[in-house]
Amino acid sequence: MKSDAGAAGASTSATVSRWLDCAAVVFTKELRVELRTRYALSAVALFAVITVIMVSAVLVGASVRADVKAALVWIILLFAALSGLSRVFVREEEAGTAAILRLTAPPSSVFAGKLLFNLALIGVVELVSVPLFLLLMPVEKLQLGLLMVILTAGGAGLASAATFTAALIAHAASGKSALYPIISFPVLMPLALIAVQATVGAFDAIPIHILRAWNDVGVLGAYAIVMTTASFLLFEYVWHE
Amino acid sequence: MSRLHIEDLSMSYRGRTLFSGLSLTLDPGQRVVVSGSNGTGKSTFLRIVAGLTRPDAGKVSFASVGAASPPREHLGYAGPDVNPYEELTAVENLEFIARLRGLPIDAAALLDRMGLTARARQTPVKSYSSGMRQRVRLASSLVADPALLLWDEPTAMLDEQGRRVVDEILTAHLEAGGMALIATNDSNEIGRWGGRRVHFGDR
Amino acid sequence: MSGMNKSVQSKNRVVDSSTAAIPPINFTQLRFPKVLLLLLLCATTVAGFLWLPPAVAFRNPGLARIVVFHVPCSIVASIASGVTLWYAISYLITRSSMDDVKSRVSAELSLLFWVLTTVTGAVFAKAQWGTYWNWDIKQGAIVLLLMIYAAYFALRSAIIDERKQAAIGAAYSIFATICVPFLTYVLPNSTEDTLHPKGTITTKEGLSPEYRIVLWAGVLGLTLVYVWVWRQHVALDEIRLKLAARRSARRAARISGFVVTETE
Repeated sequence: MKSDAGAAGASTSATVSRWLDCAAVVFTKELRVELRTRYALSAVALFAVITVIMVSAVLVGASVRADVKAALVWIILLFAALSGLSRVFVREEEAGTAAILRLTAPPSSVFAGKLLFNLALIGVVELVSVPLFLLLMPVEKLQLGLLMVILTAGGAGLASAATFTAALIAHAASGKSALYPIISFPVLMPLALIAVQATVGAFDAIPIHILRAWNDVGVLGAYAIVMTTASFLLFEYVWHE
Repeated sequence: MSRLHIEDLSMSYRGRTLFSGLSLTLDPGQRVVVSGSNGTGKSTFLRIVAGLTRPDAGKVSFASVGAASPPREHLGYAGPDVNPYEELTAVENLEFIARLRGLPIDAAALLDRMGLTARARQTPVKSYSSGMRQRVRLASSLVADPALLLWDEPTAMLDEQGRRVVDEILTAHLEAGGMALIATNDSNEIGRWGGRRVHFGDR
Repeated sequence: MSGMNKSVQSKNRVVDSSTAAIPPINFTQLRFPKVLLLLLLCATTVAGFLWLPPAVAFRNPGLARIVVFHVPCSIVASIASGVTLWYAISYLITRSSMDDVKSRVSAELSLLFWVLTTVTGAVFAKAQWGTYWNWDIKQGAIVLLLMIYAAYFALRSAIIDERKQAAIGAAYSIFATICVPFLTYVLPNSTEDTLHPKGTITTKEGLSPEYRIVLWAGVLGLTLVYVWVWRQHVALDEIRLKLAARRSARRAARISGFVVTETE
């Protein structure tokens, strides 16, 4: 019997739990595929680790100021992110699997699942590369708590903006990997400037810089919230194209 | 019981009209064969009905539901442009779709029906032959027992046994009151299925 | 305005030739004599070079006159960016091809005027303060906008399907514009260290009356140039779309593209 059950009359709470289910299912799928291919880990995390090692090798013997170190940390994180965060959407289009998601899941839940995965990925990259950076290029007066808060807020903004630009670049016919940084950097420039300014406070421990850094953390949080909201609002318009 | 309405559908691609003013009604238990040479708009037509492509004009609706386009739950789409995930096994692929639809599924039974052996079901799709992939595609479209099947070249790359299975499934689906739109160029199949037929291409 | 009315009736159809009714007020159709515009532009240019007295407060008083070109360029570029954003949002709502054309053409002009603003500004800064650049808020925002529009066109050119191009381009221009205000927090805004003085054109003390007259005449003239070029370009693309639609309509009238048969 082919019935229309499940189409109409679904209550709001059922819709919400369905949405959450879908987001979780998409996230789990990403995770499972990642565990089997290790693509993102090898592309993004390895990129970050290798860059950190290279930067420290190039600067051996040089006295690097705290503010330069802060800038280096974020440049490395940004480039690492842009080397692989586009995969969540680009892979779906290139492998011809995106239609499965379009046919079965609410668009925003797809974006939520992908965003969660990229957040987790950025988290892993930060956990691996930042300690390594601090090991190779020690910072004497490190404010660890502050640094962790900055990395959390900055990483969230980075992941949400980069996930949305990934959804855009997935529609390009060619040159996706070259175009991805080009369209992402303008969007990420404010984030990078704010995050570096905050990290300077966490590295040099000058009271006025620390004070400024806590303000910056608030702005980083605002950036993450605004860009995530904008992503969710705009995603429905670009997903069904 | 729902009924598929396609009203005055028009589509062009890069300035070229594929078709215009296409209207069609499908009642429960009916099927329509879509034929025509390559590049005449068969696949585009099925994609529009599936909601994957936006038409230039016209609309697709389910009479009993009154939605602007067929709700996703009612559609089972299988075509060369929808691939299973390479890194997942066939069972995982089907379970993924079922979970997204929020429905329970006996993936093993469904794949068994499609003729995939137990061992094949447990290996990632990337080691499959193109015929096996096609079986996974067809099985994916049957998840959640949709009212409308949209099959684009369902028997492409299938062997004799596979074609028989497709026939059986289609017959059972229509007898249960389902509907089907099938695109094919196989003259055998057009003869077998093609009571009602939409043929694309210049007259 | 007209684009929105039209598209509501015609949904996704490219052009609906049956909507001949004239909307109540149509700013985009208002005409302005081009001869007067030419005279206005000549007058501001001549006045800028010959009539304006050198600004004595500046290190290079003669070159300070560039302000009457630099400021109007930046104002017109801002207007063009606003128009781009407005029609990008409008496109995503209406899906009318003309809204996309309006947005894209305005983005092109916006890029042009931002480049002009940057160049005149850098020349000015080098002459007066000895440096081309110092990353104050206005310069930061300009660089960001230049990057955004360059990326916007790179993104569009990489997408083949025209409707995709329009939707993805619109979404990117909106998304990227949203991030610009975050710069205002991190970059210094008109302190003693920055190049851009505060309140020069908004306060009474900022400029001498002669400068104010020429500057605002320049704003008017360049805005009209922007509107004129934008409308010409939009009209040209509208004709192109109409021609394409007519060709495809003729073809559609000749062949419907399909046959339905019933053989039981």
